[in-house]
Amino acid sequence: MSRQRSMEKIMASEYVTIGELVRITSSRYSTLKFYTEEGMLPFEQEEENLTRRYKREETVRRIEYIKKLKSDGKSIPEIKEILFK
Amino acid sequence: MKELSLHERFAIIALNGLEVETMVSAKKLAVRGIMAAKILENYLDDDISDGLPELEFKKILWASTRKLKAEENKITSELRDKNLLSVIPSILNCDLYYVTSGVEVSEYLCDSDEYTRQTESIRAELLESGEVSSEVIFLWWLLRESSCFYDLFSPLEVDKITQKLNEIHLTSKKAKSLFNLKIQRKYEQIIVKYLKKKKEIFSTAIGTGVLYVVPFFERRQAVFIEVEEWFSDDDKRLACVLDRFAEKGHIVTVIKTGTVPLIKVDNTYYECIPGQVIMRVPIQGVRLRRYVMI
Repeated sequence: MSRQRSMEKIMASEYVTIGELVRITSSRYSTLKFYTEEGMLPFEQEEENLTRRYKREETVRRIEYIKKLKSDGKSIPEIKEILFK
Repeated sequence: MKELSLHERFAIIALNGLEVETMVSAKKLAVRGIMAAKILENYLDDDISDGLPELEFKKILWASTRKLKAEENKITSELRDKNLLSVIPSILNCDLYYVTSGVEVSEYLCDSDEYTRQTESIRAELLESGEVSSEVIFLWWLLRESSCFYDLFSPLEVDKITQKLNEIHLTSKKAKSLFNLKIQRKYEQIIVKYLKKKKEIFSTAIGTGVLYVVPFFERRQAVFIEVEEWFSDDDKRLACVLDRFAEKGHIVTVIKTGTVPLIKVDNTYYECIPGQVIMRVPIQGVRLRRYVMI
């Protein structure tokens, strides 16, 4: 069993896990999982049962953008359309 | 964003919603969990070959109520200094019986952002594929022992996590040594089971109906608020309810008006059903019934 990475280390690394994304962005796990399954958050995974890794800066920016679009009243299909344009 | 220690992380989850004044079983378990977390903090890095210090955990198990109270005061002031914990009035304060007897009940409320961050990061690590960290294994055990675990996960998720933890139990000495430890006394295990069952029953549509007729079982979800005059109309009844909540410092939003209004009090929905209680004279008023979406 290894230790969790400290906030300092997370903020300095290029890739983060979904759990670390939850800690950075204060988003719900189920929300991020849903965004991932909908293809709104791109990730890398070496093998099927290994942890999904997200590019930290890019993904955090994208989550903030999605939150902003949601607060502007956009629905998920509309947000997806904007993201994939 | 603050970096919190293991015992602080656990305290944020375990103390949220507990009554301040009384040392009920749920709080005893939460405080014992906090004490256990302080011991476990020393073993986050180590690969334990001799096992965990069982004697230390036994001491926690038999700690007196006075010691638990002192520990509670210590952790709550620690969290308050970090602006992560506040004390709010309980909804019970609005009940006719509590108002007339002058009893004030308050509850702990943890910072909602931090609470979400902590609970969701545990959920993410336990439900995602990949390695589980020492912190989350320890937190899982603490949540299990303090009976908060089932509040955070659905039955389906519990199955998935149990399977994962069984595998960890087989491969890790640290987990094996931890999972066999207990900080619940035998009678507390029975109380916890009873409270869990009660919560399950009174969270259903039928259960809330039963509670409306027999509020004794869970008064918190069947608060009675009296009206000033007999045979008040819908608006006057609702006004009395809103006045009482405002007086006791609760945030209320009216979702629907009418004979049975729907209101939201501190993130929980209630229907206000006109009714009366019989004392020397009948007292008319409104009984709140927790609104369950079917």
